Amino acid sequence: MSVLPVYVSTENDYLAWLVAVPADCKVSDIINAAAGLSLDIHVPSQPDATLCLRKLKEDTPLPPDAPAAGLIEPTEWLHLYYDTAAKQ
Amino acid sequence: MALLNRSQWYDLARDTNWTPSFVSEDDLFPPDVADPFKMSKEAWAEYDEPYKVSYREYVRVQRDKDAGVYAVNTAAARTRFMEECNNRWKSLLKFHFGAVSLAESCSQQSEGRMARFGKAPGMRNMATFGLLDEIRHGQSQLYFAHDNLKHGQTFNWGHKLLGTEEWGSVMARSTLDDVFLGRDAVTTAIMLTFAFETGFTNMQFIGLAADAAEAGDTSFSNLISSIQTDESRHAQIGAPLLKMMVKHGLEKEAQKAVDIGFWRTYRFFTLLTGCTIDYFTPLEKREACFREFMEEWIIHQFERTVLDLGLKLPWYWDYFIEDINMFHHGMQAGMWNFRPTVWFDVPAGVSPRERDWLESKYPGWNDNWGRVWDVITKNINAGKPELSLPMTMPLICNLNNLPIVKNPNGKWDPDGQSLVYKGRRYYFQSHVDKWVFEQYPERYSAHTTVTDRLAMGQIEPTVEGILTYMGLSEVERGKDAENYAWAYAHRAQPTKAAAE
Repeated sequence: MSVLPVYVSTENDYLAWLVAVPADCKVSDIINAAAGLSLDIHVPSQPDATLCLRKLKEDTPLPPDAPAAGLIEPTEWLHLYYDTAAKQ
Repeated sequence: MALLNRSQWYDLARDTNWTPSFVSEDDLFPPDVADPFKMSKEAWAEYDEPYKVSYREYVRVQRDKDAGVYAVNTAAARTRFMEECNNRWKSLLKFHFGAVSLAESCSQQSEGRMARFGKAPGMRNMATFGLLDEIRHGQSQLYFAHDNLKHGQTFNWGHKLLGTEEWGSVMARSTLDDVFLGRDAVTTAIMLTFAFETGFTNMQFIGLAADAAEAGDTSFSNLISSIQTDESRHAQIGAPLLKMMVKHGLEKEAQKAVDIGFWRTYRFFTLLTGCTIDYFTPLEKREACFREFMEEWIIHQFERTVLDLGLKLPWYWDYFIEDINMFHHGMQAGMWNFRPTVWFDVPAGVSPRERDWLESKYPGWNDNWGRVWDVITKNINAGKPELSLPMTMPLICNLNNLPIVKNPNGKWDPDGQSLVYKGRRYYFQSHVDKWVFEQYPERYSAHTTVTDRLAMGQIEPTVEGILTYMGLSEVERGKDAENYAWAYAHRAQPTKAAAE
């Protein structure tokens, strides 16, 4: 199984992390994997918000159901963040 | 027969330059390794070392210094300091010996290069003594580390570290290779003796010696103070060269070497000195905080020296002054989180009283770094210390080989922190680290960080696989230095900020 390594930074954390996911995964799998690697610092519970992923240099969230392949390149830097508007 | 005073014979005796006739000047002093700036013979003739010493004087003084160091060590052993000191002080010593002993030893090569390829006889003399100094520093610190093996097995990392792929070792090797092992004689003199030794070794050796004396470790204090007396002498090799370069139209080249050497050195010492002074040293024994030492030794003294030589302050000076309030706090949090990846037990240094001290020295510390430690403290007090141990590697800077950190309340800087070179992505701690990379991309681009190697499949992707790759056997891996006593203290005694 080939692997897609990416770097993920998160809100309020002081480090960015290496996250390796299967190359055929969806964006939502990266979100779950990154949140699961949490030290309980970067992703505290925020039930009224949606957890989103975007490229560090871009503003728009990546569609969670989209396949990562073709959308995200190996070793790209992604950013995990809360979007309160998306939940409403 | 009356002996002449040194001043009556020194200039004549030290002038060992001649015009080569069997080989060309460039064969004797290949420009790539001797002087890529191609300064004229007349310019080199102006080199005047500020510290003049003869071999006879040097040997006499060094013999006395060494006798003093070992005598104090023998006497100090009777005080049973090492038997009675706490674990965090032992950690500080293990950290120092690991990072410094072989680094000093390998700088013999740098001094040797200046001793052979320096084009001024005075520079060669100074560097010859510098080479002998570094032999002494390597040997004495390895001796002291070895002597401490009875107080902790991982004191052997004084010798072991640089031969491993432990992340601190990769960082140290990449810095040392760049700053003083892989440069020509002139650039080595600037980056090693001027940037590295003039400012930063002062802070590590004098700042730490003061804290060690205060803590009662007279042996270690005496050892590193003695070493610093040598450093202050051979650190003077670079300044006359800078003066020459400015005078002969090479100001831009001199400035660039200073700017690069200073920045690489700053990152190295921030990890080593910043963390030990502000977090490892017992609170009641601290003389000043890292920022205050930086202000005294670097911002005031180094700044004045640079300007006196006719150079400018490095272009990133304002950013640097801000950075000394931030970067080492991230290094400390990271080193504690990743404690199994180092060879000593890591003190958190964030008990309620220590957090109050940090807030007083770095206003805003509680709002920024305190929030990270709040979560960690809460998890430990809830019986979940495993949540403070990472399950993957952090993104590491492709220049300085340290984890990329930011103030937890700050923003990442996408434009300043990355670039693509020949199809490969590189990430940096800051725009300054990126700028250094851009000056010599071919020099740096082939290197991979430990995290790059993990991402490329060169390391087994498990925690055990990573630790084994770093050379850390199960008994060598660091733990919390105080068995979480600092966290439990928060239950009974909140910080001033929490109490308010």
